Amino acid sequence: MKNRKTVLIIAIAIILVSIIMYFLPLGTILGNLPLIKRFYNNTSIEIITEKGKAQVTINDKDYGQTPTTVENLPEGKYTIELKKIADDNTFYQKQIFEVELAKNTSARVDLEIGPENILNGTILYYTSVPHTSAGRGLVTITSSATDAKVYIDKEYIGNAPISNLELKDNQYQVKVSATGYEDIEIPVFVRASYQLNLKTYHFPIPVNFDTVSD
Amino acid sequence: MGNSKLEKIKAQTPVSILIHGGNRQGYLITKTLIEQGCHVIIIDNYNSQTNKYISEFKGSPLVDFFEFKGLDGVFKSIKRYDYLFYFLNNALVSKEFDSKEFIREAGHLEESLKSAKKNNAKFSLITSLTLNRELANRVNNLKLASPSPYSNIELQKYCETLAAEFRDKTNLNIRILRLGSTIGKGILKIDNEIIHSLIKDATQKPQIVIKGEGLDLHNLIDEKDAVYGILKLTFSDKTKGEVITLANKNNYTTLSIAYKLLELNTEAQSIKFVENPDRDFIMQDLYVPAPHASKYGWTQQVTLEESLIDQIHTYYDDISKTWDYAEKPQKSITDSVKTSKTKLGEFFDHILHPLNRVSAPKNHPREKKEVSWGQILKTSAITIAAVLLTYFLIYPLIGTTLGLIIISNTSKNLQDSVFSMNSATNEKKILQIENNVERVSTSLNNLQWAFRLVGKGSLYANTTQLLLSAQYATEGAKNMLGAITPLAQYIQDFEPSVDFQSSTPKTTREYTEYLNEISDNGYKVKEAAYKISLANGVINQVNINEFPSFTRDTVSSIKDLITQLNTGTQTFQEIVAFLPDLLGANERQRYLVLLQNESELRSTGGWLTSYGIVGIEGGQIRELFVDDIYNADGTLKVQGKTFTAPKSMQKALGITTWPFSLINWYPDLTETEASAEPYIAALGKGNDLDGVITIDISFMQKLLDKWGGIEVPGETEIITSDNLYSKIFQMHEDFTPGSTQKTTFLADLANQIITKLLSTNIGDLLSLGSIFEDSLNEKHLQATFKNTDAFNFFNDRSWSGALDSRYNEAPIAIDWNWGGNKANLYLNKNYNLAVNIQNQDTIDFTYSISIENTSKTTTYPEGNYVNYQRIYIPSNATVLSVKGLKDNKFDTYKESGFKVIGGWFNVPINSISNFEISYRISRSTNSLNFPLEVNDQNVFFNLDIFKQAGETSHAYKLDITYPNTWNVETNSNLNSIENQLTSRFELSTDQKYEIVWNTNN
Repeated sequence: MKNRKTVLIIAIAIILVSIIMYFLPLGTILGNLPLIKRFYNNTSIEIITEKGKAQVTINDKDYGQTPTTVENLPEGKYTIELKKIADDNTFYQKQIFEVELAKNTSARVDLEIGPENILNGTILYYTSVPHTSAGRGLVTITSSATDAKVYIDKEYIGNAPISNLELKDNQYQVKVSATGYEDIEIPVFVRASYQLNLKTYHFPIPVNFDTVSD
Repeated sequence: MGNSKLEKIKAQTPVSILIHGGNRQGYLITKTLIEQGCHVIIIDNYNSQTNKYISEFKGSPLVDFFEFKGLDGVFKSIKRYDYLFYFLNNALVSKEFDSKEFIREAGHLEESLKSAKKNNAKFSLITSLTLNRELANRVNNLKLASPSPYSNIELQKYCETLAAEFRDKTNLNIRILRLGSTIGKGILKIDNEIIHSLIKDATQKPQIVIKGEGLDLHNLIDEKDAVYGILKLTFSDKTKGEVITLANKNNYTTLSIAYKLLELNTEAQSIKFVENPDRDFIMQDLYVPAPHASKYGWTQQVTLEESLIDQIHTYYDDISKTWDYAEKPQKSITDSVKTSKTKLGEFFDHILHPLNRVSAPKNHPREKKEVSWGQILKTSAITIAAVLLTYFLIYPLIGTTLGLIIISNTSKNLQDSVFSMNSATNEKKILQIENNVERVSTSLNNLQWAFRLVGKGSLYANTTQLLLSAQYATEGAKNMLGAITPLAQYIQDFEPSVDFQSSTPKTTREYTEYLNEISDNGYKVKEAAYKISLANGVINQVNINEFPSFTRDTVSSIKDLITQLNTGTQTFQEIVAFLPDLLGANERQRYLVLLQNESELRSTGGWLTSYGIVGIEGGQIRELFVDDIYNADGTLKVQGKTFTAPKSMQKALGITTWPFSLINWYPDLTETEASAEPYIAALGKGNDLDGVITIDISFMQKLLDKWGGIEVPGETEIITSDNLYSKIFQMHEDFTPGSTQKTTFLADLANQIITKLLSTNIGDLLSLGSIFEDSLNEKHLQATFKNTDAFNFFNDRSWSGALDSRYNEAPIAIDWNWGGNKANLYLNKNYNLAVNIQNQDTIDFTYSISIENTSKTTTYPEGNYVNYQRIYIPSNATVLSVKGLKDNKFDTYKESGFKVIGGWFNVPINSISNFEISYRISRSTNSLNFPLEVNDQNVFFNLDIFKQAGETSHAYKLDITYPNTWNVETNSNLNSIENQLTSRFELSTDQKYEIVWNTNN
């Protein structure tokens, strides 16, 4: 009888511990511990705007002007606002993006902000992926242009969006090309157990058509 | 005993008087004093109890005995004495006195005090510390009853007060000694009832019974220490006028004494706690004793344990039992405690008992003992095994199960509440799902070994993929919810100002704030679309067959849901980019609505019968005007306003000016919009347009089918899809010059339909979704806008009626029925397109059209098909041949970015006519827009086949021939035979083919 009670209590204890483990936000706790968080939140985000500067706001906090690098932000999602600094702001609209920062990774926003809400450049960041094959990471590529073709190391992969393409942990040259738009070409590092998120934006190339002639 | 004896006491002999000295204390003091050569006079009421003590001194010359009744005589007869010990504590054994006893005792004391003063003797009043503590607790605790007026407590209090006052008045050398409960070898019965009961139980019963919790405090002193203390304190001059506590310095609780007794291995083996309902309740013992005797040089000589041993011996002797303390091993305190004393104690003991067993060795459960290395290793191994078991099996199993239950329940709740527009609640639920998906994923990760162990690694991989997809989807859904909320509120709150039943606006409310919020949340939609596209990408890799059969339906439904969600989100992402602008968030937007009759086919879909202007501002309809096209033409004619026709039209139709009814000459609807603007301005309906929407009879028929018909002013019957054409034809037959009957009907019908659409709430409009989608795909409904995003959205889906650069390869056939009849209703057409890709730089196209006119008569609506045919081919294409046009005459010109071949391609009634054109496009002449894109090893070819708006569905045959050395990588669902790709289909919508070849051999 006593043995049964003992087993019952141990079983209940194990179940309780299991439930606590399920609900315990270990990552959040570690990310907020005074000494550990510096190593745990080893993140950085580099923000560059070509041909002009922009005011940078991350999660409603001002981070000055581009180019800038913000380091040691806790792992998580961030809303980045870029407002181009120009004499006449009516041409340029505020650009808002969501970027995720995973521990021990760097993110990069490299954009040229054009008038009429058009952009050219890339946003690149990593998110952790729990399950990938050993020594492999995932790549996801999206493009602002319709029917954009994606090449990795000159090999045609398919039209954007490319989702969760599994590649070996290595450096690659990515080219995104769409008819009527400027090409984007960028070197990227695919990291094991991470997903590389690459978002490309393309300026349209002006096209002239003949109108009426006899 | 005579007083004469007292008179003989030598002058140098110290004399002491012991009042109430006929007991154990008196005996011990007397014995001590006479050993020192002192003469002792004992005064008491003698009885059998006192005789036990005084009998030893009866023959002694140094001891005299007197009764209380002789007290007065003693004091008178004694010449002197030095010390008076008044053992009041011995007189207070009884709890209650009658008044006489009380007064008598007080009188004895008073008499003694006076006598002591008279003899200049040192006086010690020995009282009970126990009674004083009880008195203090009663005073400090109002809940306790006051002592009765003739109680031992009151008597002690009175006597102490009397002595103190006497001292104050006379400066008598007096001290009050409050003596603790004395224990020791000679104490036959301890005056403290509780201690007496404990020792009695300990010596006579198997259990020591404690009433209550056993936390009452007791002051004890060994009899030998008591004697030593009384004498020392009496002899000391420092104690003059002081009240002194004479007891062991430590207080003892009942429980601690009981434990001590158990340790001493008495008869009792355990302690039993029992309820003590009669006991006075003391929340806290606040008693502050008088200065301790140790302050005056007294020190405790005998330990409590020694005292108790002596006392236990005495109690055992009393019952004639032997107790050999030295031979018995001491027991631990806890060993003998039974915690079955109270109900609460029993309950906790019941619960914790197994744990106590676990944490302690079996044979000695609660005693620490040395642990061997083997035991440490064993315990460590068990602990590690338990941790591993928990981490790698129990936690993931429980976590996964618990998580899936939470996700399932929350999802159901979310489904119920998703349309409640309570975004905060919904967001919370989505967040809950998101968190739990992540947790399930983490916990399942710990179970990976088990999947591998049973050879289900692929099931694990697919499950994790499914979870990852779900995680992305919930993240996307969370963003989407935030983005969609203002739009949902707009849809929910929208009330159209247009009233179908009345010309008076129902409301003037605008929705600008919702529209601005939709714009501001654009980035959330992008993020949502991105996440859901990731989810879609991941779930597309999930193999449903890897899952157990009973879960496949669920997995499949999740897969379908995410796929649909992906499509919907991508579409929504595009819509929110322009929707606020289209709904007039910033300024009023004005749209031209054209009603076309496709039975008389024209470039953008048919003969224009009516037009309308709709103005929208702040998300609300602010302007609505519908009129017949003849009225517009008539108005402009009256005003004398004419517009020069395009050159191509002049050449084709032989007219120099073009009325408003012919503004759809250009097949590109955006050009029609530009053409219409000056007419609208001339008609006084505004200077610019923000978009053009075309509808045709087929679209109206679908709406009428959905609505079950509509009432049109002036018509006696409801207009339905079935009677619509007959009504139009009947009006035409009844038409007489000057009559407006025909035109009024179509304008009124258009007005009714547009008004009904605009007065419909958004929820009902959404129910018409499939009608809109089908009509847009088949080009019975078209829309083009100046807003770039809106235009791109419609254009990407071939809904804008635009001819853009994507049509840079296949020919575009545009009919213009100029016969004034509805012959298009009686035509059967066959299209053939042969594409011969010579190499990477040259493509030949051969395009033929065969038209059969099944009209039986030339009577309206049937008749000869008088058609000005235009073929749009790439601008720099080289025309190789043209056959089948009337008189083999045709015009070639460039328009709208294309090369146009135009000529009359007529089909008389009951006949078939054929037309064929061949052309070549070369990279050398089309470097910017050549349809073959070559990249290293791949050749890409996008073929877009245009369907003219308003045209009914006709047969189309496509053949693509390519070089033998190319291998098809993507055939876009075309049939592949050797180096040829073919397809036969009905051209009801635009067709798009994306073909990829690999040229690396």
